[in-house]
Amino acid sequence: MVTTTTHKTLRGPRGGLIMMGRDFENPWGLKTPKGETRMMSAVVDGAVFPGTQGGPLEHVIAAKAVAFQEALSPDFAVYGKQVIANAAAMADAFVAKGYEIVSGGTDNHCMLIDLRNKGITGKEAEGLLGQAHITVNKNMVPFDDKSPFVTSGIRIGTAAITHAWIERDRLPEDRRAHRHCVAQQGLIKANWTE
Amino acid sequence: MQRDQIIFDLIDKERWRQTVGLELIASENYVSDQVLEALGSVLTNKYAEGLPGKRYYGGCEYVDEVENLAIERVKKLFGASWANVQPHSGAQANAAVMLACLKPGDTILGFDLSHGGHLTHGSPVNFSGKLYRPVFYAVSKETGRVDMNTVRETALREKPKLIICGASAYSRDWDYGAFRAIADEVGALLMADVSHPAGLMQANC
Repeated sequence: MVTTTTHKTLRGPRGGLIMMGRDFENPWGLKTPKGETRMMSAVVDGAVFPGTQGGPLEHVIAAKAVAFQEALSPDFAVYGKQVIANAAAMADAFVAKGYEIVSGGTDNHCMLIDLRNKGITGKEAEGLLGQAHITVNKNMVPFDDKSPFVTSGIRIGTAAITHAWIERDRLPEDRRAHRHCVAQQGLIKANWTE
Repeated sequence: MQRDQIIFDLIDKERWRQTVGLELIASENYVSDQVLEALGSVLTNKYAEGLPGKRYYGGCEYVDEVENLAIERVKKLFGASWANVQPHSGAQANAAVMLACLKPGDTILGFDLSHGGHLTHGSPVNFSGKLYRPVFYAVSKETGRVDMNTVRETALREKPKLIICGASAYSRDWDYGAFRAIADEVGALLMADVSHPAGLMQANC
């Protein structure tokens, strides 16, 4: 069984879904009122409603349908390749500056940066970058000795910024200029030139 | 009705924040205008408990078509034979699978939250860690990668009913085939939570 959200790299509305590659008979011998063995899909359908939810959010389901159609277009595969390429380039840039990336690099859209060799906590880095209007989240790193509220790492991903870049011409010129300016001023104010 | 200027001013500020700032949160994205248009549509007014063609409310003919299209499109996108598009979130999707597959107290094997796993994969503060008995695999200290040998050893020792692969902070591809083999070996069901890379699978085809 495969579960996923629909709002991350999939670029749809905030929501979730469940899939199966191949349906199968439930392994516990659950029967229908007619005495037939229930398929797993029917058991999971029942676990969504009435098991754990009430009425579905049909406006969100419509938005999911729109997003799935977008994802079926050839452009979307190009977007995905660019997300991965951007993350790889960003990981290389961090490594070149002496940052530790957990596992040494990335195969996907994200990376976890271990800041322990830089003398800064995840919480501090999130706050400083926030002043520069660069939004990241602090994150535990494997074998972290700090609490989840402080952490020794930050998590970074390229899904949103890659889409923003593809759509950059739709952003008014003044906002485009503003974006770079705000980030630079913020980093100077935060005295974090790296 | 008077326009609620307070809320719409805050939404404008958030729009400014999203367009001027640099968004590097790995779990976020920007949706298209037509996705936003569907979200803000009159479909929010409709009750539709049940599945298309099997609803507990009348007047569902159009939302049935919408939901069927969502199902057909996502099946085509991922090559799936079945899909349920109703979960309100990833956490709700995981809750439904666990309700379908487990009894309270059953053992589940997931990726340690502090190593990049997700709350709903057995964290003690989440329903998945409260209702079930969670055990975890982790990354190797040397490589920073999930070590499939320890996944298998843990699965053989703990005999989980459900094995979960997937993460919220892990930058490497998953060896889904190896997880499938381990699940088959110990007689567990396998749940892959692909929330993070879901949109990258088309790029990898």
